[in-house]
Amino acid sequence: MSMGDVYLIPAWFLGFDSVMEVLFSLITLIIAFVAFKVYRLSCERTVRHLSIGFALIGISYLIWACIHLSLVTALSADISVIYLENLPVHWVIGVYAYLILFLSGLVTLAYATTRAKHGGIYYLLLGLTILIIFSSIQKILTFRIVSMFLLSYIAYHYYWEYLAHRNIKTLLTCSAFALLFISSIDLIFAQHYSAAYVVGHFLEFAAYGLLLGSLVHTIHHGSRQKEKPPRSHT
Amino acid sequence: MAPAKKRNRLEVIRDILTVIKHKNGTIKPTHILYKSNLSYAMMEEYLAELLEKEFIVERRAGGRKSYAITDKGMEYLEKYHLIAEFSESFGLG
Repeated sequence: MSMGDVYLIPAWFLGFDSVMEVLFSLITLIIAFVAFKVYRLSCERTVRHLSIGFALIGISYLIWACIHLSLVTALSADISVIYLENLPVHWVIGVYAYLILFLSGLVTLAYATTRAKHGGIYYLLLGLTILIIFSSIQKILTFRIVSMFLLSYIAYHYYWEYLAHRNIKTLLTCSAFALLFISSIDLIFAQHYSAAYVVGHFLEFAAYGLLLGSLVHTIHHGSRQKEKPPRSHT
Repeated sequence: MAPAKKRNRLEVIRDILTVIKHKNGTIKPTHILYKSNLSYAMMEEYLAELLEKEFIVERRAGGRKSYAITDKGMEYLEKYHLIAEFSESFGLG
């Protein structure tokens, strides 16, 4: 990690951010679990990828929350400055695990939305993404930029899905990924402005809330409807 | 009259399984072709996928092929709306 990898976190927000990250982790893991159940029923590859994608993001948030929680006890000031280069080895491993798992999750989600049948494209994207992080001097900044790029692609996909269907559930998912995209831009500035870190977390909070809303809506409506006879036109 | 909306993959799979289910669980390929409104090539593609997913099984009697719906296929039909809603919500439909 380099000198450029620095976070400005207001002291009052330390601990609170960990709680939010645990919440993000829970929501994404719930989505991953439901997606896995749907995959077991449908055997659709794209649903399996979605499940894996959300599970990876969920695990990454859990690791990130643990790192932040351990920092709460280690730091105390009006503004807590965290230089990643000074972190103990186990924390550095944790930070790397977070970066790789989160980006792998986003790559998996992006791949699921392409509906591509060639698995090689997935490994190419994943390999390139991880390579970019490892070869970068400012890893956190690079991580934020790559996340922003992947989230812009996913948000764009869901925007078109919303235009195609124009219903509440696709609107919720589209809005959620749009907010995650905005938060990824905002969090780039968390290296210089502590407020950006707080705003980024609240944007993520709203985004995962919308994703949970979309999931609840899906389960509610999906379990209510009855089987219909086949339609007569292709 | 507005043109009929093109079915997506999940709907085609549901329709094929429903046709088999309504024929007492076993059906000849020609009946699937007739009832599911698919081209022969598309039907073959979907049947291969359904066999791979173990939603149907192939049976041969007197040199004639027929297809039977499995418990997994029945479960797909039962939970179809959850699968379709989820796929649409998360942009996989």
